[in-house]
Amino acid sequence: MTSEISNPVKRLDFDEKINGSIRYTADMELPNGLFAKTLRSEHAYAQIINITTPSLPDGYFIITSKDIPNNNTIPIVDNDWPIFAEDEVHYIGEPILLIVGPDIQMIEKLMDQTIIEYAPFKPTLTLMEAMQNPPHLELTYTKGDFDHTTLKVLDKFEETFETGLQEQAYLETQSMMAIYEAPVIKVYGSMQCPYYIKDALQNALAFSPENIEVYQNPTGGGFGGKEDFPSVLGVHTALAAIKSGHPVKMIYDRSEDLSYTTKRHPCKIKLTTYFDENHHLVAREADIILDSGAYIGLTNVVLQRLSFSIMGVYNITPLHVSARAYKTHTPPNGAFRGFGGPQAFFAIESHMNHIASRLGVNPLDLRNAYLVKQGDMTSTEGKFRHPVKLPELVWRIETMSDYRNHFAESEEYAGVGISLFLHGCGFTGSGEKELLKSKVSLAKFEDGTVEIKASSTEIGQGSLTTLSKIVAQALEIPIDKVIHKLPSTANCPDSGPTVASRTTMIVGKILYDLCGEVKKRWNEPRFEVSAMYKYPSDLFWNNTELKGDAYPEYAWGANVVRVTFNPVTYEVDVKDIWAVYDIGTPIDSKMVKGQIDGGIVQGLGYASMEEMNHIAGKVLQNRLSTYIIPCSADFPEIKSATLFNPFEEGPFGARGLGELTLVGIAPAYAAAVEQATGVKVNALPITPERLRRLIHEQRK
Amino acid sequence: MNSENEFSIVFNLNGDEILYLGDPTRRLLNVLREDYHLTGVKEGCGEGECGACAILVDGHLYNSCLMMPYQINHKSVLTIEGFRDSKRFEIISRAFEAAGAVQCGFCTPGMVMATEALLRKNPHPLRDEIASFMSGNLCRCTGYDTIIKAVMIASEAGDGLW
Amino acid sequence: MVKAFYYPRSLNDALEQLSENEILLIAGGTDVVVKNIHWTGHMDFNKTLMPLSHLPALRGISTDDTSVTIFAATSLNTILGHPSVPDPIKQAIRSIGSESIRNLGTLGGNICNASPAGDSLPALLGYDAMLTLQSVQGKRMVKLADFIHAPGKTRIRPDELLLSVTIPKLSYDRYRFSKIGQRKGCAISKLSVFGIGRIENGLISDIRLSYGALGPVPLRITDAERFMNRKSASEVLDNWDIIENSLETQLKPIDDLRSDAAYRLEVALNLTKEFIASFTHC
Repeated sequence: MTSEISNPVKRLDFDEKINGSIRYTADMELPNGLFAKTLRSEHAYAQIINITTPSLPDGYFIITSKDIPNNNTIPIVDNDWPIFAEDEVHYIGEPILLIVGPDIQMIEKLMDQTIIEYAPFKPTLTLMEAMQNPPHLELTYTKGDFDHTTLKVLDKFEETFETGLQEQAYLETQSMMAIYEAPVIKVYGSMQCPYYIKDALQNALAFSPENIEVYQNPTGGGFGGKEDFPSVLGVHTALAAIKSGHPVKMIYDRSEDLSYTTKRHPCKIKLTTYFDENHHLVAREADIILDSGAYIGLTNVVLQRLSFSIMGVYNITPLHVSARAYKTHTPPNGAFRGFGGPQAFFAIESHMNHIASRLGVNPLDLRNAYLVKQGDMTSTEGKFRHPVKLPELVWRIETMSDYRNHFAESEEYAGVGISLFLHGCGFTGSGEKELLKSKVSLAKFEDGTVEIKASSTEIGQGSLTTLSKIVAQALEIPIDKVIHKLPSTANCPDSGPTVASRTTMIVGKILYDLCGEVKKRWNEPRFEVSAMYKYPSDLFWNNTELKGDAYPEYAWGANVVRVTFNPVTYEVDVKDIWAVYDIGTPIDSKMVKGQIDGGIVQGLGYASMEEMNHIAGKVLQNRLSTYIIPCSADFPEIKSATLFNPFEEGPFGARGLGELTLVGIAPAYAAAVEQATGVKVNALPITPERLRRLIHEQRK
Repeated sequence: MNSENEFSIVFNLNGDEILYLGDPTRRLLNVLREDYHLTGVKEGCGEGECGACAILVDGHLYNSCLMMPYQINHKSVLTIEGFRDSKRFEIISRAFEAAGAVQCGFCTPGMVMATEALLRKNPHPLRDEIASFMSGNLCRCTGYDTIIKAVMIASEAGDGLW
Repeated sequence: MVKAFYYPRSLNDALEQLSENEILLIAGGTDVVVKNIHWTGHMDFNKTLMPLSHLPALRGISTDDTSVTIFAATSLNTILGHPSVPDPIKQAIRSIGSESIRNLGTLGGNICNASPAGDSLPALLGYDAMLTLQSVQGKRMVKLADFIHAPGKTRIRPDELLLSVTIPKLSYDRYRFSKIGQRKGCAISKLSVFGIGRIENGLISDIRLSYGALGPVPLRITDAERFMNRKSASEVLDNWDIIENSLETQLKPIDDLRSDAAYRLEVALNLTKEFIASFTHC
């Protein structure tokens, strides 16, 4: 049962990528261009008393907050993130100024000669310290009737989970360039959201909107790390270009990128499950804490997604969730594939495994008793309106992996773990309806070609090709008649950011529907049509009460991981990985496999080796030799499959995919490790060092 | 030949004989990118960890981010720009396409050069051997499976070429 | 700013330079470059840079009946491809970096960089490697065990370079080099354990145990070796607390960004025990 659209095609950008001719920002020549380097705070929390700048040779410039014509903030949902620190610095590495000029060594010299006088305050560096004060963000919601008084008498199981920072580690570091041709400022770079950068420029410069143009350059990976942060770089390079009168290019080197750009939010999640006298799971409570870093940025949305996902795939009602985020004087955290999902599912799936162990039941049997079904309420009392194929997912993964036999007959030092999970596709809350107002255009030309105009960005995931496939198939024209270039705000309407697993399902859908109109007018030689996203009328969302359909649709998954454990070295070896997903119709089976493999390996890195710590507010692992991401030798072949369950409101039946594959793998890995070692794991990453400590503690 | 800026280096770059009279201690990665406009050779980490800067020198795999021009004196250097006209590249390219082994593309030239270096050394590598050989080329998008498969497909399709 | 760059035409030329000027020696550059690089690839050496890898006198491998001599600027991959280099040494060298690092890096570089985590060092120590250093005044031989005295610090004199490393041709019945890194490929050691030995009449004979990244310098634990020699593996295992004590007092692992001291020590002990247990099978 496959759809024709799933048949793989050659990626539209394949040739230029394989032959090395594609140019990323660092590869582009910039005639008369200048370099710029950021001077950053050495203190985690301090007042800036004085800045002494050296006298500048001809052709060199310093850019500070005084050079910002309008607001000194980057609008990233919240507006608390400064472009340059003015009176205070709030994290080590916070940008204070730029030094711009033609020669790198001279810039370095001028940086050394720039003296910043600080009056340090006592920083809040850990969540523990931060929690002594009120949180900066809070939310709470209840599903069903959660009555502490009734529940007090019941048996309960409570435990806390912790996860740490994770770095996106895109192979191409943050890169941006700006050209000012008065009155127009043009910014080009590595990005996921051209319109976010445009908004940031607008906010800083107060130019007329038509005088701000943002162009996506070929982008070497994003994973969420280029959702929010490029706005900072975009504004920096623009200010430098405007003041200097020259084009300016900024390419972060790896240690700068690792040390100072946004990371996955660390969290602490306390889960409490209540049982009746028959050991049925009758109520659940979650207490969620996030470390937002120095500025809030996207934290509220991460907090929401995490809070809504904590229900898992289980119909355990009532559910009460309270969540808080605290600022610490560390670099601000931001988006990373999964966006709260990986944290939530590590907690809820591990919690279910621990419950199964306490009750002496098979982890899968426990889950099967509580799986949500079509028509059931979501965590925020919306509905799972479309068929929920969890039983089929379970059956499929069981058959593929022989999970039950592996679980029952596990030899010493071998283990197998399972996870079931979902991911809401599209913006959280009513974002797709209220905030985004996504719009696309299609232009038809005399020669029968059609151009896609949308702000969706190709960041490796294949959207350049998949959106073209959707249009080609909808119009029944060959794919080489579809023109799809990297977007710019000058040429393309705002179809929303390339995040939240929304590009295929939502933007693809608008395009698909719009093709109907193109088809009708096909005989006209040349025209352009536009359409906006039609938020499904049967969905509702109340943002004050956090009630309703938090997402237009969900994608689902099941993972099984089998490991062996070496008691001599405490190392874990992954032997098998199985994965089944319901992502509706795959728009291209090869690209889907790419997303599956890539997301799983990133998730396994999160689970087992990607550790990032702050010491006194400074990132310790700031090189690729010390921040360890998986290499080709670490994990075995991934055996994966997709279920046939077309989503009637998705283009050709597609759901979102991008994040789902990272979201569910860590708890499957953790569960396998638990069986192989006999210990309970409540924190990530599960390094051999951590396992050794757990084994010593728990075997007493 | 014995003081800065008077060191002449002669090397073969992608089939062309080159005379280099610049600073012999500049980073080779920068020389290739800036002087010869070979932007297919990329910087991903600057410390020899990620392999995005991988080139072949006399047929062997090297990280150009760790090298200086004096080290390639009288040697032959091959980057993706020089390799892409060959029959072997065609086979590797088709294999990467068949396997779906390209996503963002940033690691790809390095992966191609590593594939060529591997098949020159070992025309029919086993999966484990590929996984081990390529461990100095990091990728964040693909999870490596498709890349390893691509190498196997190339090795089979190009039987006799290596 | 690099002061100067001197490209020696011959070994003697290099030695003369060393005797007259302050020189920063570079072989493959895998360590030197990383230590001296600035952002955007600008390099900054504060002495005259003098490369060595091109000198034929410093490359190659020679053997005679009793020993193997590896010249210092021989690349790690060249060593791996040479039939005379013993397998135990190859196992250690194979674990270094990645394919491209091993094409560029040299054995002499790995030794003179003297990192506590240098992966060739425990195996070379196990082989009682002898270093030949050379200056205009001539050659001198130094035991590798006496050469590295602190992290990154060797007893090389300012006018000397490392010419070669000589190891005896050991016969062995068991060997093992275990490197524990943070991932399976291209990793820096958290710890490493090297063991090699013979079995004579069912008893452990001529055993060597050396340890990397478990202290400021790699080291042999000779008192443990002495205890083990001429005992059966089971007798050693029955008295394992003596070995534990010896290792615990002499190994000085630290907590750092890669691992912690308790893990390193315990795993070193475990790996040693596992190695000794392998002496029970024939």
